[in-house]
Amino acid sequence: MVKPKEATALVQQVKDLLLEKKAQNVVALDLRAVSQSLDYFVLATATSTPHLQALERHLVEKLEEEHLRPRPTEGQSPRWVVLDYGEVVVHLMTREAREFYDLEGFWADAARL
Amino acid sequence: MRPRLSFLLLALALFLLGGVLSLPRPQGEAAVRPSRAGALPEMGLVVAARDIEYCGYHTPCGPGSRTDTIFYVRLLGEEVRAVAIPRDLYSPLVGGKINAAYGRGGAELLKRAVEEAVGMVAERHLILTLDSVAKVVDAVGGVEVVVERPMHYEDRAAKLFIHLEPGRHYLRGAEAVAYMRFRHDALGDYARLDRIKGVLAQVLKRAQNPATWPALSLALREVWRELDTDLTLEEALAQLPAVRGLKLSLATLPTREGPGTFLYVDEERKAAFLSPFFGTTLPLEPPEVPVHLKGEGPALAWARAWLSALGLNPTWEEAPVARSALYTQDPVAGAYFADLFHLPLLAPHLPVEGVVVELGPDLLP
Repeated sequence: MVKPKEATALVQQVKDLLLEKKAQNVVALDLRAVSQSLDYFVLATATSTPHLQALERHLVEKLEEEHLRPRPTEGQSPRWVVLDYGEVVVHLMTREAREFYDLEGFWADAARL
Repeated sequence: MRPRLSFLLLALALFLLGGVLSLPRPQGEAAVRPSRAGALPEMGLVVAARDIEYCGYHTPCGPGSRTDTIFYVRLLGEEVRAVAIPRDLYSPLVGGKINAAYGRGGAELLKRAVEEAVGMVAERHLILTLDSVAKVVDAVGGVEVVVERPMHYEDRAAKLFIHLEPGRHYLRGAEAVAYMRFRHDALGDYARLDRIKGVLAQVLKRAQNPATWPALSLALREVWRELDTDLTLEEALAQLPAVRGLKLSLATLPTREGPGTFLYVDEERKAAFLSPFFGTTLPLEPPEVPVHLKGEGPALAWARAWLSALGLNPTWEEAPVARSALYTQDPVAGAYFADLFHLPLLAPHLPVEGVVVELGPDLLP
């Protein structure tokens, strides 16, 4: 059972949890004005693949304590992990992946939270 | 008579995924960065899938030289419009069926043959293999299909095993490929193209979910070297987020039967259909065509109420629908209602009266 939670509060909580584990360059985008179907993205950079996995594990475990679980996704990439919490989608990426896909550049007109 | 080892084309998917925007770009890191600013380029692309080559009896040995599934894809900004080209189409350039073009003259001849059939310019090509299509379907988490009549076929040589009873099925990549390859029914190639179009629309929809992007980018990296294309992987991958807003319309090139097993372009219907299909102008008022709604429960009730509010009087029926889509042979009405409902427009080869809107549970949150 998923506990309803204000999306922006969840965004903030995700950012805090990522910073606790030393994620770099944590950015939240409000996509509601620029996308028909996306609400919020939280982006963060991991310094290595083990760091990426640690960030993922930490986030999933902490949010699960509040009965929030990401929607199941197909095979994840070793460089890019997506956790889909409905309105809030979290992208954890290695530095190269973050630069290559440049999601912030793509949604450059989205407001930052 | 065994199913031809023809193939499909989730290319779009691949392409959409990626390629959508790959006009030549200046060199330099910054120049390849995606950007939402400004209009997306307009371009024509030939997407085809290769069949399987046999080295001997029951011995498949890799991708073959025939391309039984061929699409002409036109990118118009955020819209993707694609026309399926029947494999038996006679091509004067090839001096035979269009599916032999790739084997005889490579991608360049195939592009020219398609340009001639459709009457539009093709700047780029993307030639897929069956394996690559299966991997892309797997990367988006499979597809859901509704089978109306039992589908049974086994061809060990082709590694084609199809056993589907009527009803709703969830298919993984290899199964989806088999489902699209099946052509053992009365309508043969046309029915196959309709199945491919249905799967394609679904793959694109799933590719629009950010959760599938990492898996898709992995799958693309893996399959790209199997492909024959003049799009680069970097161009394609960097554009992944652009699939978000894409709208897809799919139709089949109008043809008529001719001598032997050849099909010929039906020039009259082609002229009537293709120019509006590739045009971009939407009518301001709802076109006066019969609208039929098909679907379940709340989605059906919502659509009826909505169309009534617009002064339309649709007919309707309660029926199970796996995936929402809009079907019509009228490109103008199709464009209008597809835009209204935000649904993919699929023009089947069989006549459909007016516009048929199928509303499935996937529409509801």
